[in-house]
Amino acid sequence: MSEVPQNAGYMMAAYIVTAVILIAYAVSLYRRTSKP
Amino acid sequence: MFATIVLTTGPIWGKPIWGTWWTWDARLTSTLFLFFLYVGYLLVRGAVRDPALRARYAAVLGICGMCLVPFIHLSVFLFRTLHPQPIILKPSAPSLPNSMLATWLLSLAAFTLLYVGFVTQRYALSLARAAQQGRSSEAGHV
Repeated sequence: MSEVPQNAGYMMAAYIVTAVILIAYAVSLYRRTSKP
Repeated sequence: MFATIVLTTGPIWGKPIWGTWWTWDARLTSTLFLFFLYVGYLLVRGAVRDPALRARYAAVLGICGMCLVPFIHLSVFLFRTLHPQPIILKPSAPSLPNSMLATWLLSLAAFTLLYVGFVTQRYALSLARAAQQGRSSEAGHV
């Protein structure tokens, strides 16, 4: 098994933050678009 | 939105590499300034009622923001910063392993597609709202 780098936690945190921001914007855009 | 991602994930990367979440170096400060310009742009779009005036003010802010982008890229040449010299966008060949370059190019393509998708959807939403406002004002005149 490959060794996990010490800063892996920071990398995961950055991925999660990015996903949250992108998904939040996509959902807000979808809700505004689908509103009659 | 992408500026927000840069300003939140950058410090998360900076903490283990530099030992600090934030430092007032030229690239970070100018990127923060760019973020505030975009915030101002969104505020202007929402605050000015006259469509022609709103478009003019927003265009000025948008052009100012765009002018800042090359300055941010070149800031590592102009000032002493914690950021390294460019390793991809530079006159000579990129100085990173091919596997990393391939990953970077794939990510660039994915984020560009995402950006185009968001802009397309946002533009369609603006058109729909403008048409709706046009119909409302016409009904008000009748």
